[in-house]
Amino acid sequence: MTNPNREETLFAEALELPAGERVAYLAHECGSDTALRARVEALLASYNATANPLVTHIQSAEAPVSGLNFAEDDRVGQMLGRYKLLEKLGEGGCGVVYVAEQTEPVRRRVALKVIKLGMDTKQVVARFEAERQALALMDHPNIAKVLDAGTTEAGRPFFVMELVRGIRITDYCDQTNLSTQERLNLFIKVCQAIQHAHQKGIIHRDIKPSNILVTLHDGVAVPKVIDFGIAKATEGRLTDATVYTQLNQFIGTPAYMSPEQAEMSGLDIDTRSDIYSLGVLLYELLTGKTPFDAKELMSLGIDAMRKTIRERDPARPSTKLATLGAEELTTTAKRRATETAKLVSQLKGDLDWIVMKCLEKDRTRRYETANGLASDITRHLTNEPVVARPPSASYKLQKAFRRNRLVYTAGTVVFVALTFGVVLSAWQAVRAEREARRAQRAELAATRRQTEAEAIAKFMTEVFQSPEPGRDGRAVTAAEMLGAAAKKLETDLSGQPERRAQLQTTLGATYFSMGLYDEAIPMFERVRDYYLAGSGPEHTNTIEAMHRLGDAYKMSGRRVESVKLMREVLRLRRQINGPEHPATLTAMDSLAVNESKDPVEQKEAVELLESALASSRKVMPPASPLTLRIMHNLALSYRKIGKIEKSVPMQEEVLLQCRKKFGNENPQTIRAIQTMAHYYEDSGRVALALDLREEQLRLSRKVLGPEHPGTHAALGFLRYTYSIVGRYEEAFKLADECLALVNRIDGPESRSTLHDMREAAEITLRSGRVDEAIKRYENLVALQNKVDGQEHPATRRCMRELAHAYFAAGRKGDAVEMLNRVTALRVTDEAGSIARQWLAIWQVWTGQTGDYEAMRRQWVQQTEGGEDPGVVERASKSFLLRPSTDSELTSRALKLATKSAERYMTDPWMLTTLGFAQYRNGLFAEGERNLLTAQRMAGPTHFDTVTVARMVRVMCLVRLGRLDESRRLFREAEAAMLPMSTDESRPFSGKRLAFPDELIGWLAYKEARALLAEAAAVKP
Amino acid sequence: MSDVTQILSAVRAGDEAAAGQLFELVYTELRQVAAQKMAGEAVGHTLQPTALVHEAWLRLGADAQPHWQNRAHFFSAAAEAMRRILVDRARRKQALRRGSGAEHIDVNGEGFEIAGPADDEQLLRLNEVLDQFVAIEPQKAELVKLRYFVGLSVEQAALVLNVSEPTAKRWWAYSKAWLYREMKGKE
Repeated sequence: MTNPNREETLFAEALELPAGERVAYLAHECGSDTALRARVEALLASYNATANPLVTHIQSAEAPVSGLNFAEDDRVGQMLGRYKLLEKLGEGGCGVVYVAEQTEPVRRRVALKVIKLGMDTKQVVARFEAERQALALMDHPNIAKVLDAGTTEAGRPFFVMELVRGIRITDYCDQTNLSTQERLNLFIKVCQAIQHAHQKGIIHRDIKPSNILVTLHDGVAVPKVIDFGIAKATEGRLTDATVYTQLNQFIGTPAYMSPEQAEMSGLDIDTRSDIYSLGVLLYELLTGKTPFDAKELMSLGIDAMRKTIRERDPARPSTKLATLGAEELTTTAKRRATETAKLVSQLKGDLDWIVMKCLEKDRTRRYETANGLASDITRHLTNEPVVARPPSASYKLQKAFRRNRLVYTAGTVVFVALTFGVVLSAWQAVRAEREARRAQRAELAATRRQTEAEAIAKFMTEVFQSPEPGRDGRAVTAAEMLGAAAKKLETDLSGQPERRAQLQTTLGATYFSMGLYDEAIPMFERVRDYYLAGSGPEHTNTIEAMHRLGDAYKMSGRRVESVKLMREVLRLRRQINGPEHPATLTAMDSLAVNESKDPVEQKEAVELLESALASSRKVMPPASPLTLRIMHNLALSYRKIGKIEKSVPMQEEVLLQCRKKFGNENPQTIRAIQTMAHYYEDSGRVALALDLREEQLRLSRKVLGPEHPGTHAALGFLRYTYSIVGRYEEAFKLADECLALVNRIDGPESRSTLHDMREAAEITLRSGRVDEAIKRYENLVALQNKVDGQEHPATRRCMRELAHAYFAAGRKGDAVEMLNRVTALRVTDEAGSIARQWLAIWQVWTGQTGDYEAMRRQWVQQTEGGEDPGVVERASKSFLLRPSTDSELTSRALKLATKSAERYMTDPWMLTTLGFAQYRNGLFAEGERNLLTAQRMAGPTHFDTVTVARMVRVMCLVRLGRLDESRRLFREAEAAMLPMSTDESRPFSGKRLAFPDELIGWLAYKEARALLAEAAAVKP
Repeated sequence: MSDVTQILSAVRAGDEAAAGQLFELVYTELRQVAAQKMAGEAVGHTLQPTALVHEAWLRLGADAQPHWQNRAHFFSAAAEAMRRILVDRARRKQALRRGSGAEHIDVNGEGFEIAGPADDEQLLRLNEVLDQFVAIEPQKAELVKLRYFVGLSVEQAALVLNVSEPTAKRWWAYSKAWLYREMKGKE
């Protein structure tokens, strides 16, 4: 065995020499030891061999791992330029701070901060110089002055600042038990300092208690803001190295970070980020807590942490106090020289609003300036009304269901996705490189990676900075921005197909998340084609791309293509990842969840999900998101195939798991409650549904807040459930509450307000307040006209409902005229078809046979090309109200019924109409079967439809000669019918408004009764 | 968080049992982070070792360590843990490919996929020669693990090993040459 040390020495020395001299050197050193020489030569050959995994891999892993920059410890005693380092003051996320002594031109003590960086220092230094000049402009008693900047001999930048020997503002306030008012006065000074900097064009970017120190000057507390603008000077462009660095900074102070900073884009920070951080500081000064707990944020992991900061609404300060334990609350109050109850009431109202305005996720809703914030606090202190007002929630509501959804989300969705793309690309660059290692020399690869990362950063910046603003005077939508990006990709990155594929994936995913599936598809198709050609069908990238494409096909309604593709994905996943791998289970889930109407496929989907669930339970931790999702989808699939009895326990388990895992007061649990309530309603367990709806509302108010969209939705659902169980008074009250809320938040002419006005008017009518309902509807129709015009579906719907109200008041002429106005325009949409159905019922009910004949003939013909199942079904059903002698037309009505029922196999309405049409066409046995199914499927919300189904089924049974059965069924159905006067005009007037199917039920009842009597006469 | 500090302090004080404990802790944490990250992913996703270590680092609160030696211990443990995870995974995949029991082997036991620094076969061969290297050059082998499995730079690895940067560079050059030479020797 050769001595390894000798080998090592020879190797190291040979390496120092130019390649051409190595052979001679080794020959000389090794002499006759040819074995040694061969071994060292082999070492030299291996050292930079391109196939050496250690060579190629490591080049790509040069980015520093955060947390490891612990090199600067022992500088104390050294000189840095004209500064002598005396003592280490502390170590923060971005550097080490020393007390240093300056010797010339004046002798004084200063604070010197050496920055830790993992990037090209030359650029940093240049940026530093620019930044230092800006910082020198600041001159404010509450700002620690930046005196100088330079670099260490190792090239690390440092800042020299006025030395502030103080303590953190939060500690100072607590130690001296400052009252809320005193704290506010101190805080105002901080605002003024920040305002001064902002006026000089400098953003602090890292406001937090440790950067605001309090010192005493002649007994007066003076806050000093330190570290101004340093964050900016140390920020680099988006290369993979800075991704880490930013990560590093991000970790430093997540509790104080604004949502836009949490995105880690670095491209888009302005003075309003400082306003956000000031809000967090104020929050902490008032409550002793930050809006999000720093430790909790850390424990979430980076992705969830960013999501929390971006999306979760923090509790108001006064609410936060309420979550403290009694003891902690007492301490908190004592530190503010007050009692607990008083402290809470001090914060409620003004201060809550002021803080929450600072903490808005959308920065345009924050205070414009730090002075604005300070002034509002002053107004509070002098008991003037403050500018911050409660409906900060208005934009949250908008967020949930407002029309400008796309424009609104432009800033967030696109930015998040694309920024994430850059980070992802940095990761993937590392991976891609490993794959290419055999072909690439290491140095070359490193350069290339650098260039590519820069290309991406540049590309993104260009897309965002030049969106042709204000083209024809409106905001550029996210979709347009993405379109520009997609086009740009084609030309700009033609030489970098891998990078292009990654960006196309990102763009596709962004389109997808915005619901623009047709735009997402070509992106994913290109990515798929690229990977398929380059890496083959079995490569992870290819399968991943196929999966995304499959999902996009599905969402855009290209079901067949989606199913085909997802089957392939599943096959590959099973083969490559194994049958129980999460990716395989995810593929199973994706394949199963499709809109198939084919009962065989639906059954297959259920089986697939059942098997995925079994595996997921086995391999995943309990109550994992994947398992919960599969269970949720399985419950939904059971419901689709009409097995509501199976979907109920499944969803019950989902709900139970959520309650256990997240607790009741959690948004996800609330969503599970909502779904559970749907299922209970569907399966007729309305009392259980009602309990859950009430719980949903209670929890939403508590967890989401009284003005959150989720709470608004919960109000709406509860109102609906009350109305289906006939508790109209309660429904009425809730409807008005809902309306008041949305009116306050969105304004009187917003769509959401109009929507809730309509709901409220409907309940008003149902609760028997006919005159008031008419007033409301008339008012609403006028408003709808003004906002949307007469042709808008919403306007026509209101007009149709106004007609009902007229009927209810006995104003039949007005009602019919109104219905005619609605149908005059169109009968192939929902409003038109419902209005016409009412007219049809009215005609049959009042014996206007001639008009009815003409109308139904024309309607069937008009509807034959129709697509909307509801419209088609209404045309068919309206035709069936009376037997027709025209057998050809009757069979066309059956075709319509079949068409709509095929689309909604499990809908009792559709099935009833199908059965009815079959009866009219003499297909009694088929009709009877479908009607029986409809009858079984129907829940309590279908009480009117059930009557129709039963009565038509009675007629089928009579025709089939099953007389005893038919009589029994008739008696049963008759007993279950709602009371209705036999007075012909009654259903169209009086207090209680009938549903159309209720009237059709009465028509069917009369027909069945006559048929039974006839049969009895023939065969006693 | 305090247990990590305690364990790390004990390791620093030379407690052998604590070193084992630390390894277990980091190993478990890495697998958990990986499994959790995977569960949150919609589509099959490949995790990056460096990102996992970073996340484990934060979750264990190691960034709050008062002594940098503690950090060094953490990264040493993470390097070894990541090595085991990757090697384990590569073995399973190979077993799967060879069809021993084929269909019923879950690729990595916990359902996550980590991007290996090399292809499986190469990784396993490297692992083999690395074992030999540990026996003759333990410190250099440690350097390789830090660089290769955690992605530390030479500078950072030097800090962890408490050697100067030039030394670490020299070691690195020699180590990578030695390892590859031995790998080729086994072909």
